[in-house]
Amino acid sequence: MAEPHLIETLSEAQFELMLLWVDGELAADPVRLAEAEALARTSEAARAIADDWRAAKGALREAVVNAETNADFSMLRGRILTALPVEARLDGAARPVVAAEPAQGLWAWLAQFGFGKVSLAVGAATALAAWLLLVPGGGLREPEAPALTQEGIAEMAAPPHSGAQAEPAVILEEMELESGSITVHPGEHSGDATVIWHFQSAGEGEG
Amino acid sequence: MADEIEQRLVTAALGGDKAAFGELVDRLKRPVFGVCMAHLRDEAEAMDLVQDTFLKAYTRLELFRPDSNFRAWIFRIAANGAIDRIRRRKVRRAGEIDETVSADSLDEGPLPAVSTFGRASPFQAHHDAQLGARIEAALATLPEAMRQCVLLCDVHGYSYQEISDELGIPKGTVMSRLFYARKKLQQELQDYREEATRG
Repeated sequence: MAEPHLIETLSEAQFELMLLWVDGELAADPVRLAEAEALARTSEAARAIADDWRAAKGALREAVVNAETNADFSMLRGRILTALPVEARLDGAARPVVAAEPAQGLWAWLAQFGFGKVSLAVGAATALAAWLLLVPGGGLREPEAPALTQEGIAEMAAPPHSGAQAEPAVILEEMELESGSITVHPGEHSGDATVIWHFQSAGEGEG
Repeated sequence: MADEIEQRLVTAALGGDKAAFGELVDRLKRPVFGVCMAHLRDEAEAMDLVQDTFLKAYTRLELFRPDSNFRAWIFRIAANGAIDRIRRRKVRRAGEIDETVSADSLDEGPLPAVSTFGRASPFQAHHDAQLGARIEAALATLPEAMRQCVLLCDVHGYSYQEISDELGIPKGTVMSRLFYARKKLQQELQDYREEATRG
């Protein structure tokens, strides 16, 4: 490493002149600018001051923007994006143009034929209203209870109709009807449960 | 390279791409925080200012000139925000110098000698980080008014007139504060040089 040179001591005025030169404040003052440039040429100390402060400015700038920190930035982006204004400012200043998002999927396809979301909603509501008016009970009435006849009981016992022919859950081999009780005997299938329905009319106690 | 990426993100954000602006936030949050911390010296307040800075930047994005540096632009927004906050602070920090300080009071005798290594500057690039940290630490000990002037001049590149306009103080006062602050910091520079010389 080189030996340090002997150092001249600058006056305060010379120190200030060098700082003004480094700060770029002499551009509008050609006389003082020439004075500073001459001092830098002739004085090693003045040159050192100027070099030191140029380096110090850069180093300080880097130190500030690259300062290490334990601060928690995890929520920052979300908070900022949530707080971004979505409408034009009240002062009427131009806002960043928000480009419309390109339509995607089903709505884009329907929109090609002039079917917007509103028109589709109106159409669906109209269709529903028509169905309710035209279909007896609008399909909402409970199916009539099958008559309490042998056939009606068989219908109740039968499983719900499905597309495939389902096997009946019970085979009625024999049925008794007396005094409001219906007993269904499984017949040969002695292992199967016997179902007994009691029908009670209003005013009778439970039997 | 980083400038090109940021420029691309700014262009996208100007087109309404909020995700691009989110990327800018991610890229610049730490440097902007560093600037805010340097001014405010308070982590919670600095974080609050970071958020305000990005929101202001978004609402003023159309004012950003594409041929200029986005980082410098947003750092200035942060600096201006810091100045506003400091103005609003109700408690003055101890040791803050009066705004009417005169040049006479700064006449404290000869400046400390500065060593040099001939024509080669001791402040090599690999020393810059150490130097910057020492200067920043020394800066933190300065009164707030002086520290603001140094940050605005040396970090943000404000001219003396711009500092005067921003702080609402005479240009002569700006020069006095900078001069006084740098005399204080010069000692730090000298100590650093001497340590670097001793190796």
